[in-house]
Amino acid sequence: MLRMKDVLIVNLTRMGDLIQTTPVIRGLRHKFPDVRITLLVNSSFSEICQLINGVDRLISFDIGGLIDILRKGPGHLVDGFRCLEGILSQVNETCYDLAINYTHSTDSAILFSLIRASEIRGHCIDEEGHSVKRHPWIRYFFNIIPGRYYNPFHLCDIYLKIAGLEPDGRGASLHVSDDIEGYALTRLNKLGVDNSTPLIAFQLGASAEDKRWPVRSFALLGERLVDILGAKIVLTGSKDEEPLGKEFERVARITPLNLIGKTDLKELAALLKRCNLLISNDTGTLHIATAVGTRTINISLASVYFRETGPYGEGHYVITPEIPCSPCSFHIDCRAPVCKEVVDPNHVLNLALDIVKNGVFLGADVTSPWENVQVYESFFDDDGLLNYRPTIKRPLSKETVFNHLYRKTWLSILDGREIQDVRAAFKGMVRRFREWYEYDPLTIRDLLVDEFHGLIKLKSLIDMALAKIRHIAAEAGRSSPDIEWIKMYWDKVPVIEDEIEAVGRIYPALKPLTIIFRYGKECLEDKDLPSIAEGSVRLYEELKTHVSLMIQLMELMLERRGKWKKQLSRKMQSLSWL
Amino acid sequence: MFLHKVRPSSILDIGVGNGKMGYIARDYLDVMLGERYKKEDWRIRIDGIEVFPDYIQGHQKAIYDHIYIGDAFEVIDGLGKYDLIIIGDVLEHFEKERAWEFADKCADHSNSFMLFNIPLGERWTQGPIYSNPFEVHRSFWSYEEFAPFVAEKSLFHSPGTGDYGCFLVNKVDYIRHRSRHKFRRIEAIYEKREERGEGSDHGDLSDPVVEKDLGVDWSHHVDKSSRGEYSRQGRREVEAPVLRSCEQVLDGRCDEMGDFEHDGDMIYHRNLLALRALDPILADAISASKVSSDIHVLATKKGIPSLKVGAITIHSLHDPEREAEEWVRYHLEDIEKASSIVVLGFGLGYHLFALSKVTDKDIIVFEPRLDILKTALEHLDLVPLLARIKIISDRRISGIGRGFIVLEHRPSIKLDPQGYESIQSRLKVLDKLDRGLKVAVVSPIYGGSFPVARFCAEALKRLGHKVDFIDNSPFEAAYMSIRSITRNKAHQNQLREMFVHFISETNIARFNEFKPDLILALAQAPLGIHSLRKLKENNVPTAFWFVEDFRLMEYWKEIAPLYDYFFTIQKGEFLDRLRERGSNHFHYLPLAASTDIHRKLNLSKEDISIYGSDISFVGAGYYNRKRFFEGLLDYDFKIWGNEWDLNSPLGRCIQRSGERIGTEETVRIFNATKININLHSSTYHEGVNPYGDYVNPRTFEIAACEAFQLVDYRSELPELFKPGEEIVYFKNREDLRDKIRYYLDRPREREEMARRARERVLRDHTYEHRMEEMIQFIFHSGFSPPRWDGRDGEIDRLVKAAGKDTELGKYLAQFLDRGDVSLDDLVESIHSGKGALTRIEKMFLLMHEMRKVYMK
Repeated sequence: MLRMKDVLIVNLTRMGDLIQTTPVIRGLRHKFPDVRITLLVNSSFSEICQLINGVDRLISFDIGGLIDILRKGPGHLVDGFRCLEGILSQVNETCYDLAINYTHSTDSAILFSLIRASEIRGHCIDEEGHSVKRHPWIRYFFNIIPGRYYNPFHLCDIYLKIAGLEPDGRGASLHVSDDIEGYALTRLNKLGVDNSTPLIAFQLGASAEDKRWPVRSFALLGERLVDILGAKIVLTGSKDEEPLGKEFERVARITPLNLIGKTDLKELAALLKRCNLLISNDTGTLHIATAVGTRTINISLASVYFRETGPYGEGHYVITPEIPCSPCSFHIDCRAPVCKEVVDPNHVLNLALDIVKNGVFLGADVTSPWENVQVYESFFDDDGLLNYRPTIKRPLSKETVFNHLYRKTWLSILDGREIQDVRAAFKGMVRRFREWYEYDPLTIRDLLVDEFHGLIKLKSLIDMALAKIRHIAAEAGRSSPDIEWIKMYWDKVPVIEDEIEAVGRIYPALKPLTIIFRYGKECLEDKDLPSIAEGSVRLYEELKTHVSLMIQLMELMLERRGKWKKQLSRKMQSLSWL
Repeated sequence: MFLHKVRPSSILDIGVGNGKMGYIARDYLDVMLGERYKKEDWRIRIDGIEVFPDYIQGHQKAIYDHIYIGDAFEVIDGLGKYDLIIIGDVLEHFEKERAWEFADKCADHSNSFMLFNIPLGERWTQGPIYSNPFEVHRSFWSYEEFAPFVAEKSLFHSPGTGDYGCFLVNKVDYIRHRSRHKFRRIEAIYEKREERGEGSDHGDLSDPVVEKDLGVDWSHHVDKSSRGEYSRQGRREVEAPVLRSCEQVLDGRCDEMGDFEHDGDMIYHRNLLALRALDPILADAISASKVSSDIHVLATKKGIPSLKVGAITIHSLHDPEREAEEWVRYHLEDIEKASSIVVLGFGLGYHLFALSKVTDKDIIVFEPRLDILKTALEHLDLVPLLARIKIISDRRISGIGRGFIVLEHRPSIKLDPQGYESIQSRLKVLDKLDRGLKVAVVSPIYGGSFPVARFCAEALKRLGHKVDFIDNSPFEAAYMSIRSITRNKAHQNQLREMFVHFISETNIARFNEFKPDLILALAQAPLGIHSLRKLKENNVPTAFWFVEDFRLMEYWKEIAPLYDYFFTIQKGEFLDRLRERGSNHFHYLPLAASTDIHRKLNLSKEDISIYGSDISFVGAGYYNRKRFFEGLLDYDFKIWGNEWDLNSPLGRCIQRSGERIGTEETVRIFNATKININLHSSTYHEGVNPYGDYVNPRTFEIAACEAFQLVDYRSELPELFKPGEEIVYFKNREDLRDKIRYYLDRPREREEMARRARERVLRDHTYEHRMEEMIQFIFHSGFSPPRWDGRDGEIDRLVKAAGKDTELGKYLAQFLDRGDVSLDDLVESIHSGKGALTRIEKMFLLMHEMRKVYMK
């Protein structure tokens, strides 16, 4: 980045996502002290931006207003158009050196195609309206929906990578002024909470019903915390969550400090700053707490996957069910939300008591069964990125192994940093396996044999395709290429690409490889022939490097290679299609 | 047919002959329609002229009120006016020029209509017959000579000699056409003279053609009419005295041929003469009008007149010409895009002069105030302008082509907003038609009219209308299952009624979504009375095409009055019955073929062996077919279709055990068969219905496939296909067997016949033809599109709101042909387009996407 004077960040999603953008803003400001940062947000969530430092220009897009106009019918099309034009002219006041779209939706992609910028990163549409995902880490970002079980990275870190930044280990951050902090403390005092009373906040709500831990569970937890710690329970939330607060008051034996709907975001941030602990579903409040440095316990339920959106910062805890259907897919309508019941108030109590008393979770006690629950502790790992350490040792699963594998390989591939010593990397991984899980090298073989087979198949397909595409690229690079020949020759490539795609479907753990490869190809579609050919060669080579690296690591993982190879070749013979 | 339309109370039959026209008219008008069978009760006056006295015998005298004997060319001068003048087999007995003169005379004596019956083409030679020297044919005629003014036509074909035409002509159209024709001839003569540099001598102007066309004996007036100050500089100057003299002659003021007192008089008369040559009716109306006292013609600084009416200034008092040029410049972009221009407001015509300078497109000017037109004729030389424009002063706005624009002369409209209101709304409707209507086509649940519904929908789409095809066929299985629910007929009917009511409501829901300008329902469409009433209350125009036999299916009685427009495949009695039932707008619309479905195929040998046979029939086993076809069992005969009895003697002919045959296979069968038998269904005849009138779809469909058919005779058949040339019919079993024998041996004749039949279908009988005719009828019956709640997205308004010169305005203007447009429409058009998206397209895509995501 030679020149970086004007940067636009677009994040039209919810409050939590906005808070998770704060490390990027801080990082940009740090790396380019003179940069002018413009933030475009959905006006419904713009209030939180008052607490975000480092933004030079905030543009609130009144999407609700536009929708109200469109709701009036086709007679108001021109008004709608003008409204949109107004926002765009505001955004396009300047031509940005870099514009980043952190919103994944199609509408934001179209919006982004209307923005003036020298470099665009994010979901966008090309000239003909096809979806393109510009920047390798954006393509990774999109993969975390279909390939989420194998994603080891937190959204904030992905955001940072997209912006070309490295995490600084400080997590998300919001600025609460002394005035507001003082005001909040005074208010608490008036409500009978002195500065020495342990204050534990409960966020009862969440954006969807299935993500909410039951109020009665919160109530039981609250009663015990009050009994044991003499703590004050404060309920937080927005106005539309008031019924939950009422329900809590009805079912709990204790009287909480119910501030649901009674604080603005600034006051909420100050209040949370004063709290010793927040226990929360996956919500914006959770991110506010982490951003003001308050310890949190995140109860991660339903489709929420803590690795993506859990608390971003050191020393936070996530308690999540460890059952086969968790986390569930997006947009499903679960009729048996077992996960809500699996997380027992006693689990959370155990965790909360340890945090408040000792500052750290000392481990699962034996008073309640923990087999279906796992507790993770957040920390910044050696690679600088956030990680979640399991606190209860369990056998390794395929997802876990690939999570660790991908953490090594994606960073190498997407950041273009070669792993100098693969064996050392492997050893580091094994160390971690032994430390965190019940590790048995023999079990690992059974876990990996199918995927290893898939990787070998993938590599041979890549070699076949590469041989063809290199020929094509050579011809396309000539001064007067034989277009007919190229077309004829190119016709053979899609068949191979279909097979590559099929490998990803047959072996879900390899899906991230094929998905991100496909996104890469989509980005080539609006280019000229030599660029397409060249770009394709680059993509295939990148995929090949990745696959080779994974094969190497997996081979090392399978210590008794000779015996295992025999086993593999027998298995491969039984599969006729190879 | 024509008599029914005209309903004359007086008729003059020229060339009585044996008196057939008089007889038909008397029988139809007095006896049938008037129910007056006694001679003393007859009320219609029927006179005749006959040149050959020997023809006239007692029977003609009994029918006609009076028959004049003599040369019609002279006799007619002494007669009065008649509602209808029948000129049957007359014109061909005159030389061409004289024939037209005679027709002109007839027009003078007609109150409203003329009916020409005339042989067409050059093969109708005839010498004297019955010792009558007047029977000699002296001229040949073609349809093209009549086409410009014919209101309705019937063409009959006589093998070997050619066509015979019956043309009903509206007197007004005839006079307009002839006047224009004469005016062009005068212009052509002057232009030739100009080219030759002639025209300085008045004497040269006494052109015999001009004299004749204008009815002027030039030699009497030429000297008096010349005035020194009119130097001959080109055509206009040459024209002036000629036209002036002519005008005086026409006004019967020949004796007062002194100079005009004022130039104004001269200008006025010259203008009026020019206008009369183009539009005598308007000229007469202007001539008779009185100029209101609030009209003031004021002199401008430039020395040319301007106009003020009451307090409203119609043209600039400083420089009206410049103002007019600016007006034109403002509209220039629209003018360039339009194919014709409608101007609202005449004023003194300055803006029209300016307009005619920048475009040679058709200009139609609407001015409701005759006195303003008169004032304009009095003060400006409008002769060149009148030749360029067409003026209308009433609501008749026919003849405006597609892609027109409307330019408003605002001061004129301000003067009389109400006067313009109705024309503006009619123009709006016409514009809407031009740009395409939103038509919801409602199909039946099942049955023969289902494919017709689909064909109508497709044809309407091809004509540029936006169509929502409401396919009710998914309800068929449920509807049919009602029979198996209960054996109690009353219960079955009750359940059916409830189910149809439900379907009807689903259709209403679709209308609310689509917001059509017109609903077209096909026979058996499940629109209940309750729904139809609802639509009527909401002024949603509805049309129904009753493609079945009104004698067999009687449900039309209930529904016909509820539809705004009712279309039939039968004429005569049915139309009278509809009128009696209170149906206001009904129209005969025969069936047709969909030529992309029913087409000629190149069949494989295998197909021919499967589908081919000497004779075949495709269709359901109606009673008459079962009986009739038994007489064909000795032929290689295949019967395709359902509802046949496999255990009957016909069993061995029935293919596929009597399965229903799909459209595509039907087309193969038509193509593969040597002779397709087409017997119209009947539930109560043993074979051919001797009184059958309408023509079934199969007739058109077999013809469209260029396949050969033998069809049973239907009274409406000869109007649709020329018997013996385009189609062969049979009247009974013996006739059919004879014709099968004949045509099986003559493949070439079959091919030729089929080829001509297909050509006829392509020319006259496609669903596009029918839908076009339907929409035209609907428009001329006073169609006005509905106002749907919330449907205020009229594209005109949007373009205005965006500013028509803005990027957005220009973008939206491309959808003007839709009348209105929604965000979905815009996005649909973007998706269907190819290539790079524009900024505006992206913005509409964005709005669409945001609406999808955020509007819950």
